[in-house]
Amino acid sequence: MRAFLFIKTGIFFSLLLMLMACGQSKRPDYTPQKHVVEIKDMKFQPAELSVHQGDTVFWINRDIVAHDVTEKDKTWASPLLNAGDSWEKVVTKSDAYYCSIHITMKGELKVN
Amino acid sequence: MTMLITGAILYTFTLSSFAFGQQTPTLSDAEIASIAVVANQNDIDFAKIAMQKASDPKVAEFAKTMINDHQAVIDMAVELVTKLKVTPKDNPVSKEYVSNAKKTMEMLNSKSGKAFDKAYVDNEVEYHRAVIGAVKTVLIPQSQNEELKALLQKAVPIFETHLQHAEMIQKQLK
Repeated sequence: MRAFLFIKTGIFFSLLLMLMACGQSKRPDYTPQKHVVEIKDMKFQPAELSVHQGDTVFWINRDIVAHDVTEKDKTWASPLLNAGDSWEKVVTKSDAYYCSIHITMKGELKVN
Repeated sequence: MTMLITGAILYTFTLSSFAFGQQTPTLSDAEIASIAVVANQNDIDFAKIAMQKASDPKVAEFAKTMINDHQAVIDMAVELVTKLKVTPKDNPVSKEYVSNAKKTMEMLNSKSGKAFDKAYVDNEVEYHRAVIGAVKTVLIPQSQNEELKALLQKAVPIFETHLQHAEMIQKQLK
């Protein structure tokens, strides 16, 4: 009985790993794109951006005050972006983000 | 409490009457530049008090943002007037701003702890509302120089974001 349970658990985790591997594989015919988000007039423009996994998002600060780009749970964040500074990130999953200096400024990345 | 209400009403009344009242003055670009610098410097001065006295980290963090952002606006204004060879000129409005700011700072310095946090944030809400009104209805329309007008227009969303941020903290402090 214990051996049967052990085999069942093993099969389950093997299938799970296979599914995860499939989910992370990139489409062979897709060339990752670069998207630009302007930080302008105290807004992320566009505030909502649809991308594919592996695409790069490039944020540039067009304001006269400093901003940053911080994931909503702070799992990743840009350095401080002074006027004219930029930062980019390869997108691996959908994320909501905000400016931790001006907390009412929000944006969202949606992976198709 | 009375001092807090007085401080808030002071700005609302003075700047609103300046913006919407019958006594709206005619301002030159040099006078507008002076008002812009003074209005930003006032908020830096309030924030410097908050950096020393705030008990809530959110309030101290907000104050730090006010210092950095308003200094950035002043730096842009100074750069522009230097380029335009305009010397900011004191005028009755800018003098009144300075005078009112002194009263507000006295009020803030008389508070401590949570009462200070509330007084500072309440004043920030009123001050930003009043300044946004004045910039939109008087300073931008009366600016003759297009670059000065553009700078003031660029400042409006900054002040509006500050107002939203202050209102958010104000709700959290209640």
